[in-house]
Amino acid sequence: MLHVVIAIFLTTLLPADTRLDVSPLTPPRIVSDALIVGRAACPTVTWLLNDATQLISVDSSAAVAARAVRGFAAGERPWGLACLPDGTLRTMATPRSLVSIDPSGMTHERIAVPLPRTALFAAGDRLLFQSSPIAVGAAALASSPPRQPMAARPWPGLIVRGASRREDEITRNLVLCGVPSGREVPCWFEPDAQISISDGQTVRVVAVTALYDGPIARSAPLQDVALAPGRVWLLLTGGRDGDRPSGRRLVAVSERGGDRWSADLNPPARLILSATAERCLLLATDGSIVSAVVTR
Amino acid sequence: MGSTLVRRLVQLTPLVVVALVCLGGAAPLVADDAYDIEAAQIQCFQNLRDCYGRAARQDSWVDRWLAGLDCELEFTDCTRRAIIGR
Repeated sequence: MLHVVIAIFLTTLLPADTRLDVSPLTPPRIVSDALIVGRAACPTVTWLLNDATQLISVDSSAAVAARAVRGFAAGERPWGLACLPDGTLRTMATPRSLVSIDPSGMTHERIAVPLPRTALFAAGDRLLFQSSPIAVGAAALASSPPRQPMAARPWPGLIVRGASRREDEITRNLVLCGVPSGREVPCWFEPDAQISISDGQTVRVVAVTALYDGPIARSAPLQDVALAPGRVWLLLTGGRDGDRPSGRRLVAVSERGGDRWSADLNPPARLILSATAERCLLLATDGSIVSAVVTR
Repeated sequence: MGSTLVRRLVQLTPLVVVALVCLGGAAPLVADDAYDIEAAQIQCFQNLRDCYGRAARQDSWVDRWLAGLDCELEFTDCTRRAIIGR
């Protein structure tokens, strides 16, 4: 396995930003305010799972549909959502139980996993996950085929960091992954400003610290990330909206040439729904779907 | 030889990254300021301490260890809902 790390620094030496064209596509409150516990970007639709056990679909035209998820046992608090190439979804009903969900919201197959999992994403036809307990110096993520949890292998990029107290170690190593492009998945440690982009073989690192100006939080500045061919979309955290962090600035960076576009968001955004090289769909804190388009 | 070169490159990577950060004048990759500890997170830490206390009262070493792992899972769930959930 070849691990090549390329550091790309988005510095203030880049030319001044061109504005993104941001516009709402729906009225407010189209999407429930319930906490989103999983986001899975399939090729034509993005799925959201919330803690009211609703499965919400948003397509590229911003059409939204919500259905209740059926089949969770009492006391189960699902977390994470992964979309596989066959269009099926997986979540963790508990840290030790993977469950498939069909587009109608019905749960099906349950698979027990040997080690508890605390985060779940997709990487091509594999599930990408974080296991517990974490071990300092080991890969933070691993991947496995959906039905073969024992066939796990380390996912290159993020390495678990130590801390003086166990609880700080856990908090420092919480992993988030953004919207993938092809087999490439962008992942980062929640407190950090450095993204590890990997396809399971190679890794490149994108550091975004120089974009901290203005209203952007210095700690945990990455609200969300999305990849598109030749493009990295960054949703930067600018404080909290109620009891949740919210993205106040959206930045699109061309990986070749360094062109950069940005816009401050009002209302702020909860997360990125989908992205192409030219356009990004966002879920705003007021429950509306917002489009951001690269202008030429 | 190829694999040796790759291995050496990988070993050098942290030094290269640190050097680039210094040369680029960028801020440290991890912000110095501690994360904002919101009320929900404080509750997560308190729950963990209480859970560890209960785990410590288990009879056998194995039971204490397993209960401690469950405490960490509960803590992880509590923390991620407080700071990762969107």
